[in-house]
Amino acid sequence: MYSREIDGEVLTLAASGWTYDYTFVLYDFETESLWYHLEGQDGLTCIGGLYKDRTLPEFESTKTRWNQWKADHPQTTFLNNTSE
Amino acid sequence: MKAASKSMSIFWVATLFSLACTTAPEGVAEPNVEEENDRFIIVDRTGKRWDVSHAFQKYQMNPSEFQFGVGPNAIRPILNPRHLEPGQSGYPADHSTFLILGTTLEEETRSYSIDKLTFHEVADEKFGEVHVAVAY
Repeated sequence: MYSREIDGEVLTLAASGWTYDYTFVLYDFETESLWYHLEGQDGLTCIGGLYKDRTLPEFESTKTRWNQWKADHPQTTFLNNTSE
Repeated sequence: MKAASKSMSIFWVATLFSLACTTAPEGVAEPNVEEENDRFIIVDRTGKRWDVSHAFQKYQMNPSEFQFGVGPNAIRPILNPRHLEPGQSGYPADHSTFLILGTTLEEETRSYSIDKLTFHEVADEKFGEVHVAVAY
């Protein structure tokens, strides 16, 4: 889970269609810069394009089972996009 | 615990392999690499060209090791995430055990099924005034 804000701009991130080392390479719609989670780095690093060498910081998130998450966070919302 | 989007699931390995086979049966995963005056361009299955010179020169990412190249429209992100509140129709039962990615930001706690994230790879979200890419 990463910030998608840089220099006051908001980026729209998506899969580029490429992978590297079995990890998705992302890109942003606005500048078509490439973003990648480099081994040992926190966040996404811009590996090419307008924002090269800049980083989008990572936010804390938890991978767990729904029943555990719900027990710990009774008011959690749940993503419900079903048509895409 | 941090849950980073480091490695692809078996689902996506199989799906990308299938997509790549459909569009370029002679070369499933390998990119078409063009070298022009110290610049390295990789060309995806749609013909789109991506300059990976900096990735190579700064981060030692070998252009020939970028894989699949199914094009940026093959995996569509979730651009308008919609969330259910507790008690709403479709909200999961408390005892369900599917995998989720959860987070709390800006005093909002949200969760995303891993299956859904796997299919789209990214959900472009906003928590309060904070814009976030939820990726898995």
